[in-house]
Amino acid sequence: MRLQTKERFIGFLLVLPAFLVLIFLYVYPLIRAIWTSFLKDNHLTWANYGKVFEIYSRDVLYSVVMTTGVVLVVLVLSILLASYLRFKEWRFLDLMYRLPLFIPFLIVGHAMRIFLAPHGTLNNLLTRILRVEELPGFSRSWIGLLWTFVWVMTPYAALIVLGAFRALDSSYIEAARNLGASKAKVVFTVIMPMCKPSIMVAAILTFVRTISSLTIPVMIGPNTPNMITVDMMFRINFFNDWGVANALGVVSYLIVVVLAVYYLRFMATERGGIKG
Amino acid sequence: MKFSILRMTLKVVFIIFMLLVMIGPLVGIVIWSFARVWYWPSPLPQEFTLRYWIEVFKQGRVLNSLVLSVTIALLTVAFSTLLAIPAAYGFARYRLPFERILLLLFLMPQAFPQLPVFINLASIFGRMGLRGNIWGIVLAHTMASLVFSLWIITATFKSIPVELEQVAQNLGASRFKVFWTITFPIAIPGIIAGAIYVFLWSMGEFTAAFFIGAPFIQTAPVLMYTSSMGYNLQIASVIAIILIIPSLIFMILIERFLKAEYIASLGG
Amino acid sequence: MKKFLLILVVVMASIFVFAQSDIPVKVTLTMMVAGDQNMVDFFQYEIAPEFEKLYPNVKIKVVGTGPGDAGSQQIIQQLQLEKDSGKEKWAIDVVVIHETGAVWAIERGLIRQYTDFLTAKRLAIRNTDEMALGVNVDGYVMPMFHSQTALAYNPRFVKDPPKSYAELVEWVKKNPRKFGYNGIKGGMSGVAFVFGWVYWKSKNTDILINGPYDKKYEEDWPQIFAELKEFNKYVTMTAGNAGTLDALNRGEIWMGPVWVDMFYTWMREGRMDPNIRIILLDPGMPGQPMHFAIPTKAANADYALKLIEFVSSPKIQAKYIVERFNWYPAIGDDFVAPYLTKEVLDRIYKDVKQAELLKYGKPMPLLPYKQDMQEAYEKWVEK
Repeated sequence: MRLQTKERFIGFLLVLPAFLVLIFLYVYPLIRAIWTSFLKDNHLTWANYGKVFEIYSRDVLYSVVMTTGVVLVVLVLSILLASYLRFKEWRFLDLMYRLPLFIPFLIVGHAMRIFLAPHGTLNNLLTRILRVEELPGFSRSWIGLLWTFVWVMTPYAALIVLGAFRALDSSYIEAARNLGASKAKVVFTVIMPMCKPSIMVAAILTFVRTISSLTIPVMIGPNTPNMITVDMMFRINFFNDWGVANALGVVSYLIVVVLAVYYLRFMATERGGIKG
Repeated sequence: MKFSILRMTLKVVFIIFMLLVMIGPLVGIVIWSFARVWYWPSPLPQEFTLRYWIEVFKQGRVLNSLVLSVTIALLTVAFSTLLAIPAAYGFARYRLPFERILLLLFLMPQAFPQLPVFINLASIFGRMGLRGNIWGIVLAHTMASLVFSLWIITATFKSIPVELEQVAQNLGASRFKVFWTITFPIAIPGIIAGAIYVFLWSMGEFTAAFFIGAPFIQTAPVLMYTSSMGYNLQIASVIAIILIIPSLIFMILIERFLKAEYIASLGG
Repeated sequence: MKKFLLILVVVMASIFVFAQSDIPVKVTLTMMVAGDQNMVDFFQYEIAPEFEKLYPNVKIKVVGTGPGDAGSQQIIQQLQLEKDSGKEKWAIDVVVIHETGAVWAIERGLIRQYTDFLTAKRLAIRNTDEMALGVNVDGYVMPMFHSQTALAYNPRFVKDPPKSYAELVEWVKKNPRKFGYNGIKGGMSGVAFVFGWVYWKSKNTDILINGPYDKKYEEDWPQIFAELKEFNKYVTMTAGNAGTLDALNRGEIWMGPVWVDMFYTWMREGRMDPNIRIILLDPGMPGQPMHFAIPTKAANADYALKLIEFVSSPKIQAKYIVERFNWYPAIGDDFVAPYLTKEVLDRIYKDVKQAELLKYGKPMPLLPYKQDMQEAYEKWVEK
């Protein structure tokens, strides 16, 4: 018994430095964010949240809708990709879809604003091939934002979904195929239901990464409306207004927390426990 | 026969489409990085130049920012590895209460919106004189990237059989000596993999570097951002390409370490 | 023996120390510069090497804070931090700020009076070194150069450019989405365009520029901004000062308000379609200088003064501001003329003639009016 306590104590000491870093550099700023969000002129107040509601409610809504849209498109694409690659090896596709994994978001943002501009590289090429005068540009509009988010998020979601699809025991699929089910039907009725947890994980991670991304909306989002993160940056850089910026931060945190709780509960029912 | 021709065309169209969508944006930045004069309606730059690439090797803004980014990334790697090794050993070898939850806690900085934390870190650092200072960025990066090294190294330690250590201990070696001569050498590949993750993440990180460092110090991503926002597209493109190359190389090298949880956050 | 060695070391060391004292101490001159990248480049690549040649012990560090009032705002924040810290020596030696920034800094006691010691001050002939946005700034600032917003257009598509705001409105209706500006958040060229719009429509233009400040002169604003909102329907919104230039270069828009200094910098670097021209709209578009100022407790105020003197000297103004960059000099043309050929001096007035500049180049409005206009835009136009 004594020995075990000592063991635990040593283990605790080993973890302590890393843990302290987390406390001081993560937990403390986070608490401070929540605290500052209630401060205005050194008074505790809801005023900052009032301002968020007044000025930025449209942007909060826009962020949630945009993010949900991204998640839906990403899910469809990654399930399509994963189903295809589950049944067939195609090295080209395998390489292509994974490319964006390796590129920092900021660079994707920059590349896309060049690529999708009204007279950007894409339209430069297309107008010549199609022999038309003018094509609409997507950068600085919601289409460009959606496009870019999907571009960077799909590979990651597909990686998770494909991993689950591949891990699935082939005998189920064989059995269904032997019963005469088409591939599409197998995907819908056998594979997808069995891989539901992984699809959920892909969806939630896509959601979180999208809603917390700053660089992509800053680089290609429209002026207004735009994502919450951009508003936070604007509040700080232009107005030096930390109260409202932090209130916005807390709102974005809450959105993710709601999702995280939902996710944990879902996982608990699905697997009878949290699996890391 | 006819069917297969149709199939072939479909396939070719799909390949072209994929190339356009996936490679196209990258081709765009490559062209811009060499452009000197490029105005509409010319499909390609009217004049090319190597000037912006030369700036990478010449003393000046671009080189400074790259050196700064590499320095910060190396310091971050050192810090987070030094913190992670004992912690990972603790998680792997000692029965800690709430082990799972504690490990998940380290993922928090990567799994939740980072911006609120970083801006508050910036204002805390501001009072401590760490704003506009590379150590401020190094600390922030260490905190956020700790999860990569911690998780990878914990998994590595766990994969090393305890029996190996027990045998040595039975022969009379001290616990520290056992760790140093047996466990640590075996774990080196895992530690390196973790270090590469941390390095790449830190190299490409923008938000913390921007709020804590700018305008006084400009890491490569921050310079890329300001250049791109100011439509200095050439400089921005050159830096973008330089930042992509190491991650492509490293990622191919360590593909077997690729786990979805980790690369999730590489983009920042 | 040991003792002897010790003495030797001490003697050597003291020789070394005293010899050193003759060489001026190494100084890092830190400057914070608001404005777009062209401003930072100007100091980093043109001025710093020249100045460091003159004073080899000085190293200039240039920190850019970005375009528009946000850039000035960042500088003010930094100075405020220095002031609040109670330090005797601030880390920032020179700042280059917009007029708004200068007014803020003076209000908060962040910059000092220094221009009495400046020879070049006597060469400044416009009164921008005395008044900024209706505030007396005499003594605190020295202009670095003057700039002006103008309408840039691409003659390939626009054969007969509009000459006034009224004509522009007509033109925009015929060519929807081919005129672009950057609203009021992405830099001052868009802001200046909006001010020009108000100057055109308002009954009290002179009061907006010269004062006094009174809300009653803003009565006609709702109507003015409603018309601007209508106008915006036919307009493309660009991404910042540089965004307008880029969109012009890439033919995405055919016309847009730009800063003349940035326009020429881009032209010089080959980043701008060389065919593009500029024109000033009737009844006028605002311009403003960028100002040099020295923080109240700058650690190296002496070298800061030397740097400002250096950049404001007729020779440097001629060689860099006018010849290399095509900017309007901070000091009178007569003073720079001896250092330039006639063609070079004429080049800066190639598109916009000197007489037009005098006639249509307007100052920015009074600071409170300026702020009201920006708020009005957010309230009435953006929503």
